Amino acid sequence: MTSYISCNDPEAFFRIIEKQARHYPVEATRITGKEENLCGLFLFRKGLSRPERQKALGRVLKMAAAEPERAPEEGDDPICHVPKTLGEDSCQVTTEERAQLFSFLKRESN
Amino acid sequence: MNKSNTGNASPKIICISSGKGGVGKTSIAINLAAALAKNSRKVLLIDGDLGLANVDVALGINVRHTIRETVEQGRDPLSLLIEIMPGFHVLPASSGVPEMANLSHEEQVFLANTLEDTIDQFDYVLVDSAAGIGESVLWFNDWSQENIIILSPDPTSMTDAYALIKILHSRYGKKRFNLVINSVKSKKEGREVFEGIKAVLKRFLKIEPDFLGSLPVDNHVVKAIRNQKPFLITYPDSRASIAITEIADRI
Repeated sequence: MTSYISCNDPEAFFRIIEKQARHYPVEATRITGKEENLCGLFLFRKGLSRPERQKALGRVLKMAAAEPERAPEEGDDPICHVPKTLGEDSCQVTTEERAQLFSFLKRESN
Repeated sequence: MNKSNTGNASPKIICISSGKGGVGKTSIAINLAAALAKNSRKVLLIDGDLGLANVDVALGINVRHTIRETVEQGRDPLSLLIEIMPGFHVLPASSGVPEMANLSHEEQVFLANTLEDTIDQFDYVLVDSAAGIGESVLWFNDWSQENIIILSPDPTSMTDAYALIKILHSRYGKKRFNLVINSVKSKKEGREVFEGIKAVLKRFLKIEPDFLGSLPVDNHVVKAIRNQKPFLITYPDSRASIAITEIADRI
Protein backbone atom coordinates (compact mmCIF):
# COMPACT_ATOMS: atom_id res chain seq x y z
CA MET A 1 0.00 0.00 0.00
CA THR A 2 1.38 3.49 -0.86
CA SER A 3 1.19 6.10 1.83
CA TYR A 4 1.01 9.85 1.27
CA ILE A 5 4.44 11.43 0.65
CA SER A 6 4.96 15.01 1.73
CA CYS A 7 6.07 17.26 -1.11
CA ASN A 8 8.79 18.54 1.23
CA ASP A 9 10.50 15.17 1.55
CA PRO A 10 11.75 14.06 -1.86
CA GLU A 11 14.38 11.71 -0.39
CA ALA A 12 11.70 9.62 1.30
CA PHE A 13 9.88 9.42 -2.02
CA PHE A 14 13.02 8.25 -3.84
CA ARG A 15 13.67 5.59 -1.19
CA ILE A 16 10.15 4.21 -1.55
CA ILE A 17 10.51 4.05 -5.33
CA GLU A 18 13.87 2.33 -4.94
CA LYS A 19 12.27 -0.30 -2.69
CA GLN A 20 9.33 -0.86 -5.06
CA ALA A 21 11.72 -1.19 -8.01
CA ARG A 22 13.12 -4.38 -6.44
CA HIS A 23 9.80 -6.11 -7.24
CA TYR A 24 10.15 -5.48 -10.93
CA PRO A 25 12.76 -6.14 -13.64
CA VAL A 26 14.06 -2.60 -13.21
CA GLU A 27 17.40 -1.18 -12.14
CA ALA A 28 17.41 1.84 -9.84
CA THR A 29 20.59 3.93 -9.70
CA ARG A 30 20.93 6.74 -7.21
CA ILE A 31 21.83 10.27 -8.24
CA THR A 32 23.62 11.90 -5.35
CA GLY A 33 24.56 15.50 -4.77
CA LYS A 34 27.74 17.13 -3.49
CA GLU A 35 27.20 16.02 0.11
CA GLU A 36 26.01 12.54 -0.85
CA ASN A 37 22.37 13.56 -0.41
CA LEU A 38 19.90 11.68 -2.60
CA CYS A 39 18.93 13.98 -5.49
CA GLY A 40 17.14 11.52 -7.70
CA LEU A 41 16.96 8.11 -9.28
CA PHE A 42 17.59 6.71 -12.68
CA LEU A 43 15.20 3.83 -13.37
CA PHE A 44 16.05 1.62 -16.28
CA ARG A 45 14.51 -1.54 -17.62
CA LYS A 46 16.87 -4.42 -16.75
CA GLY A 47 18.82 -5.68 -19.73
CA LEU A 48 18.92 -2.35 -21.56
CA SER A 49 21.98 -2.11 -23.83
CA ARG A 50 24.65 0.53 -23.31
CA PRO A 51 23.70 2.60 -26.39
CA GLU A 52 20.04 2.53 -25.35
CA ARG A 53 20.94 3.73 -21.87
CA GLN A 54 23.12 6.52 -23.21
CA LYS A 55 20.38 7.69 -25.54
CA ALA A 56 17.87 7.71 -22.67
CA LEU A 57 20.29 9.58 -20.42
CA GLY A 58 20.84 12.18 -23.13
CA ARG A 59 17.08 12.84 -23.23
CA VAL A 60 16.94 13.12 -19.43
CA LEU A 61 19.79 15.66 -19.35
CA LYS A 62 18.00 17.75 -21.95
CA MET A 63 14.79 17.70 -19.87
CA ALA A 64 16.73 18.57 -16.71
CA ALA A 65 18.37 21.53 -18.45
CA ALA A 66 14.92 22.86 -19.41
CA GLU A 67 13.46 22.38 -15.91
CA PRO A 68 14.48 25.76 -14.36
CA GLU A 69 12.44 27.48 -17.08
CA ARG A 70 9.48 25.06 -17.07
CA ALA A 71 8.78 24.93 -13.32
CA PRO A 72 8.23 28.63 -12.62
CA GLU A 73 6.08 28.89 -15.78
CA GLU A 74 3.82 25.99 -14.79
CA GLY A 75 3.72 27.12 -11.18
CA ASP A 76 4.31 23.65 -9.65
CA ASP A 77 6.97 22.37 -7.33
CA PRO A 78 8.75 20.00 -9.77
CA ILE A 79 8.75 17.20 -7.19
CA CYS A 80 4.96 17.23 -6.97
CA HIS A 81 4.37 17.96 -10.63
CA VAL A 82 2.20 15.35 -12.27
CA PRO A 83 2.98 15.16 -15.98
CA LYS A 84 0.02 15.94 -18.16
CA THR A 85 0.59 12.71 -20.04
CA LEU A 86 -0.38 10.67 -16.95
CA GLY A 87 -3.92 9.65 -17.56
CA GLU A 88 -6.29 7.76 -15.31
CA ASP A 89 -5.26 4.26 -14.40
CA SER A 90 -6.96 2.21 -17.10
CA CYS A 91 -7.83 -0.50 -14.55
CA GLN A 92 -9.83 1.81 -12.31
CA VAL A 93 -13.47 0.81 -12.20
CA THR A 94 -15.34 3.72 -13.74
CA THR A 95 -18.56 5.26 -12.48
CA GLU A 96 -20.37 3.90 -15.55
CA GLU A 97 -19.24 0.35 -14.82
CA ARG A 98 -20.27 0.63 -11.18
CA ALA A 99 -23.62 2.13 -12.12
CA GLN A 100 -24.43 -0.84 -14.32
CA LEU A 101 -23.26 -3.37 -11.72
CA PHE A 102 -25.35 -1.73 -9.01
CA SER A 103 -28.38 -1.14 -11.20
CA PHE A 104 -28.62 -4.87 -11.75
CA LEU A 105 -28.61 -5.49 -7.99
CA LYS A 106 -31.19 -2.77 -7.36
CA ARG A 107 -33.47 -4.35 -9.97
CA GLU A 108 -33.16 -7.66 -8.14
CA SER A 109 -34.09 -6.20 -4.79
CA ASN A 110 -37.26 -4.47 -6.13
CA MET B 1 -12.44 -34.94 -17.66
CA ASN B 2 -8.70 -35.72 -17.77
CA LYS B 3 -7.46 -39.17 -16.87
CA SER B 4 -5.19 -39.45 -13.86
CA ASN B 5 -1.78 -38.05 -14.67
CA THR B 6 0.60 -40.70 -15.88
CA GLY B 7 3.36 -38.11 -15.88
CA ASN B 8 3.03 -37.26 -19.57
CA ALA B 9 0.44 -34.46 -19.48
CA SER B 10 0.97 -31.17 -17.64
CA PRO B 11 -1.44 -30.49 -14.81
CA LYS B 12 -4.18 -27.92 -15.17
CA ILE B 13 -3.28 -24.93 -12.99
CA ILE B 14 -6.28 -23.00 -11.71
CA CYS B 15 -6.18 -19.89 -9.55
CA ILE B 16 -9.18 -19.21 -7.31
CA SER B 17 -9.62 -15.53 -6.39
CA SER B 18 -12.33 -13.11 -5.50
CA GLY B 19 -11.06 -9.62 -4.89
CA LYS B 20 -13.11 -9.16 -1.76
CA GLY B 21 -12.21 -11.28 1.26
CA GLY B 22 -14.65 -13.50 3.06
CA VAL B 23 -16.70 -14.64 0.07
CA GLY B 24 -15.71 -18.31 0.46
CA LYS B 25 -12.58 -18.79 -1.63
CA THR B 26 -10.79 -21.09 0.77
CA SER B 27 -13.84 -23.23 1.52
CA ILE B 28 -14.60 -23.56 -2.19
CA ALA B 29 -10.94 -24.28 -3.06
CA ILE B 30 -10.72 -27.01 -0.41
CA ASN B 31 -13.99 -28.67 -1.33
CA LEU B 32 -13.33 -28.42 -5.04
CA ALA B 33 -10.01 -30.18 -4.47
CA ALA B 34 -11.76 -32.83 -2.39
CA ALA B 35 -14.40 -33.32 -5.12
CA LEU B 36 -11.74 -33.80 -7.77
CA ALA B 37 -9.84 -36.24 -5.54
CA LYS B 38 -13.06 -38.20 -4.96
CA ASN B 39 -13.19 -38.56 -8.75
CA SER B 40 -9.77 -40.19 -8.69
CA ARG B 41 -7.88 -37.10 -9.75
CA LYS B 42 -4.57 -36.14 -8.17
CA VAL B 43 -4.89 -32.61 -6.83
CA LEU B 44 -2.44 -30.19 -5.25
CA LEU B 45 -3.93 -27.22 -3.42
CA ILE B 46 -1.43 -24.39 -2.95
CA ASP B 47 -2.22 -21.88 -0.24
CA GLY B 48 -1.57 -18.71 -2.23
CA ASP B 49 -2.11 -16.43 0.78
CA LEU B 50 1.60 -16.65 1.37
CA GLY B 51 1.79 -14.41 4.45
CA LEU B 52 -1.56 -15.19 6.13
CA ALA B 53 -2.19 -18.89 5.59
CA ASN B 54 -5.80 -20.07 5.66
CA VAL B 55 -5.94 -23.52 4.10
CA ASP B 56 -4.24 -25.26 7.02
CA VAL B 57 -6.57 -23.53 9.48
CA ALA B 58 -9.65 -24.48 7.44
CA LEU B 59 -8.50 -28.10 7.42
CA GLY B 60 -7.45 -28.21 11.05
CA ILE B 61 -3.93 -29.36 10.24
CA ASN B 62 -0.75 -28.51 12.16
CA VAL B 63 1.89 -27.19 9.86
CA ARG B 64 5.57 -27.08 10.75
CA HIS B 65 7.06 -26.39 7.36
CA THR B 66 5.71 -24.02 4.75
CA ILE B 67 6.33 -22.60 1.33
CA ARG B 68 8.42 -19.92 3.07
CA GLU B 69 11.21 -22.49 3.38
CA THR B 70 11.14 -22.99 -0.35
CA VAL B 71 11.52 -19.25 -1.00
CA GLU B 72 14.09 -18.56 1.70
CA GLN B 73 16.07 -21.78 1.80
CA GLY B 74 15.35 -23.43 -1.51
CA ARG B 75 13.65 -26.38 0.19
CA ASP B 76 12.00 -28.84 -2.17
CA PRO B 77 8.22 -28.21 -2.08
CA LEU B 78 7.60 -31.96 -2.39
CA SER B 79 8.93 -32.37 1.14
CA LEU B 80 6.39 -29.82 2.40
CA LEU B 81 3.26 -31.45 0.99
CA ILE B 82 0.58 -32.66 3.40
CA GLU B 83 -1.81 -35.38 2.32
CA ILE B 84 -5.41 -34.58 3.30
CA MET B 85 -7.01 -37.64 1.73
CA PRO B 86 -5.96 -39.97 -1.11
CA GLY B 87 -5.31 -37.82 -4.15
CA PHE B 88 -5.52 -34.49 -2.30
CA HIS B 89 -2.34 -32.77 -1.13
CA VAL B 90 -1.79 -29.29 0.27
CA LEU B 91 1.26 -27.03 0.01
CA PRO B 92 0.85 -24.79 3.06
CA ALA B 93 1.75 -21.14 3.41
CA SER B 94 3.08 -19.24 6.40
CA SER B 95 1.10 -17.16 8.86
CA GLY B 96 2.10 -13.69 10.02
CA VAL B 97 4.96 -13.18 7.57
CA PRO B 98 4.45 -9.94 5.62
CA GLU B 99 7.60 -10.49 3.53
CA MET B 100 5.99 -13.56 1.98
CA ALA B 101 3.09 -11.43 0.79
CA ASN B 102 5.53 -9.09 -0.98
CA LEU B 103 7.98 -11.27 -2.84
CA SER B 104 10.50 -9.60 -5.12
CA HIS B 105 10.44 -10.28 -8.84
CA GLU B 106 13.37 -12.68 -8.49
CA GLU B 107 11.66 -14.56 -5.67
CA GLN B 108 8.47 -14.85 -7.73
CA VAL B 109 10.40 -16.28 -10.68
CA PHE B 110 12.26 -18.69 -8.40
CA LEU B 111 9.02 -19.86 -6.76
CA ALA B 112 7.26 -20.32 -10.09
CA ASN B 113 10.18 -22.35 -11.49
CA THR B 114 10.40 -24.48 -8.36
CA LEU B 115 6.66 -25.15 -8.32
CA GLU B 116 6.73 -26.15 -11.96
CA ASP B 117 9.28 -28.82 -11.11
CA THR B 118 6.97 -30.11 -8.37
CA ILE B 119 3.56 -30.25 -9.97
CA ASP B 120 4.02 -32.73 -12.82
CA GLN B 121 2.64 -35.65 -10.84
CA PHE B 122 -0.74 -33.92 -10.37
CA ASP B 123 -3.76 -33.66 -12.62
CA TYR B 124 -4.90 -30.38 -11.09
CA VAL B 125 -3.13 -27.62 -9.21
CA LEU B 126 -5.49 -25.25 -7.44
CA VAL B 127 -4.21 -21.99 -5.95
CA ASP B 128 -6.27 -20.46 -3.16
CA SER B 129 -5.15 -16.86 -3.60
CA ALA B 130 -5.17 -14.12 -1.01
CA ALA B 131 -7.91 -11.53 -0.92
CA GLY B 132 -7.44 -8.19 -2.65
CA ILE B 133 -5.41 -7.27 -5.71
CA GLY B 134 -1.93 -7.39 -4.22
CA GLU B 135 1.22 -8.65 -5.91
CA SER B 136 0.81 -12.28 -4.96
CA VAL B 137 -2.81 -12.38 -6.13
CA LEU B 138 -1.90 -10.97 -9.51
CA TRP B 139 1.13 -13.08 -10.18
CA PHE B 140 -0.50 -16.35 -9.07
CA ASN B 141 -3.37 -15.52 -11.43
CA ASP B 142 -0.88 -14.70 -14.16
CA TRP B 143 0.99 -17.96 -13.54
CA SER B 144 -2.18 -20.05 -13.74
CA GLN B 145 -3.77 -21.30 -16.94
CA GLU B 146 -7.33 -20.84 -15.74
CA ASN B 147 -8.87 -18.29 -13.41
CA ILE B 148 -11.90 -18.90 -11.23
CA ILE B 149 -13.43 -15.78 -9.69
CA ILE B 150 -15.72 -16.24 -6.69
CA LEU B 151 -18.33 -13.62 -5.90
CA SER B 152 -21.49 -13.34 -3.87
CA PRO B 153 -24.68 -11.40 -4.59
CA ASP B 154 -23.70 -8.13 -2.93
CA PRO B 155 -22.37 -4.85 -4.36
CA THR B 156 -18.93 -4.92 -2.74
CA SER B 157 -18.22 -8.47 -3.82
CA MET B 158 -19.40 -7.84 -7.37
CA THR B 159 -17.41 -4.61 -7.66
CA ASP B 160 -14.22 -6.17 -6.31
CA ALA B 161 -14.59 -9.21 -8.55
CA TYR B 162 -15.14 -6.94 -11.53
CA ALA B 163 -12.08 -4.83 -10.61
CA LEU B 164 -9.92 -7.93 -10.30
CA ILE B 165 -11.06 -9.22 -13.68
CA LYS B 166 -10.42 -5.81 -15.20
CA ILE B 167 -6.83 -5.77 -13.93
CA LEU B 168 -6.12 -9.33 -15.04
CA HIS B 169 -7.56 -8.58 -18.46
CA SER B 170 -6.00 -5.13 -18.97
CA ARG B 171 -2.55 -5.76 -17.51
CA TYR B 172 -2.04 -9.48 -17.95
CA GLY B 173 -4.02 -10.16 -21.09
CA LYS B 174 -6.29 -12.75 -19.45
CA LYS B 175 -9.36 -13.42 -21.54
CA ARG B 176 -11.07 -16.43 -19.96
CA PHE B 177 -12.69 -16.20 -16.57
CA ASN B 178 -14.80 -18.83 -14.83
CA LEU B 179 -17.28 -17.40 -12.36
CA VAL B 180 -18.72 -19.11 -9.30
CA ILE B 181 -21.48 -17.34 -7.40
CA ASN B 182 -21.43 -18.25 -3.71
CA SER B 183 -24.07 -17.91 -0.99
CA VAL B 184 -27.10 -17.72 -3.26
CA LYS B 185 -30.71 -18.26 -2.21
CA SER B 186 -31.42 -20.34 -5.29
CA LYS B 187 -29.88 -21.54 -8.55
CA LYS B 188 -31.99 -18.87 -10.26
CA GLU B 189 -30.37 -16.13 -8.18
CA GLY B 190 -26.95 -17.53 -8.99
CA ARG B 191 -27.67 -17.45 -12.70
CA GLU B 192 -29.08 -13.91 -12.48
CA VAL B 193 -26.03 -12.58 -10.65
CA PHE B 194 -23.81 -14.19 -13.25
CA GLU B 195 -25.79 -12.69 -16.12
CA GLY B 196 -25.60 -9.30 -14.41
CA ILE B 197 -21.83 -9.17 -14.12
CA LYS B 198 -21.45 -10.85 -17.51
CA ALA B 199 -23.39 -7.99 -19.11
CA VAL B 200 -21.01 -5.42 -17.60
CA LEU B 201 -17.92 -7.40 -18.59
CA LYS B 202 -19.21 -7.81 -22.12
CA ARG B 203 -20.15 -4.15 -22.51
CA PHE B 204 -17.03 -2.52 -21.08
CA LEU B 205 -14.27 -5.08 -21.44
CA LYS B 206 -15.58 -7.11 -24.40
CA ILE B 207 -15.07 -10.40 -22.56
CA GLU B 208 -17.53 -13.19 -21.90
CA PRO B 209 -16.98 -15.14 -18.71
CA ASP B 210 -18.03 -18.77 -18.26
CA PHE B 211 -20.47 -19.78 -15.56
CA LEU B 212 -19.14 -22.68 -13.51
CA GLY B 213 -22.09 -22.71 -11.16
CA SER B 214 -23.39 -21.42 -7.87
CA LEU B 215 -23.31 -22.57 -4.27
CA PRO B 216 -26.33 -22.17 -2.04
CA VAL B 217 -26.48 -20.74 1.45
CA ASP B 218 -26.18 -23.91 3.50
CA ASN B 219 -25.88 -24.36 7.28
CA HIS B 220 -23.78 -27.44 6.70
CA VAL B 221 -21.04 -25.23 5.26
CA VAL B 222 -20.92 -23.12 8.42
CA LYS B 223 -20.84 -26.22 10.62
CA ALA B 224 -18.08 -27.81 8.57
CA ILE B 225 -15.98 -24.64 8.66
CA ARG B 226 -16.28 -24.49 12.44
CA ASN B 227 -15.28 -28.15 12.65
CA GLN B 228 -12.36 -27.46 10.30
CA LYS B 229 -13.39 -30.16 7.86
CA PRO B 230 -14.45 -30.04 4.20
CA PHE B 231 -18.25 -29.97 3.97
CA LEU B 232 -18.05 -32.42 1.06
CA ILE B 233 -16.57 -35.05 3.39
CA THR B 234 -18.63 -34.26 6.50
CA TYR B 235 -21.97 -33.64 4.77
CA PRO B 236 -21.74 -35.31 1.36
CA ASP B 237 -25.49 -35.13 0.70
CA SER B 238 -25.86 -31.45 1.52
CA ARG B 239 -26.93 -28.93 -1.13
CA ALA B 240 -23.49 -27.34 -1.04
CA SER B 241 -21.83 -30.72 -1.62
CA ILE B 242 -24.05 -31.47 -4.58
CA ALA B 243 -23.27 -28.04 -6.02
CA ILE B 244 -19.50 -28.32 -5.58
CA THR B 245 -19.53 -31.76 -7.19
CA GLU B 246 -21.34 -30.31 -10.22
CA ILE B 247 -18.73 -27.53 -10.41
CA ALA B 248 -15.89 -30.05 -10.22
CA ASP B 249 -17.46 -32.00 -13.08
CA ARG B 250 -17.39 -28.87 -15.24
CA ILE B 251 -13.70 -28.09 -14.73
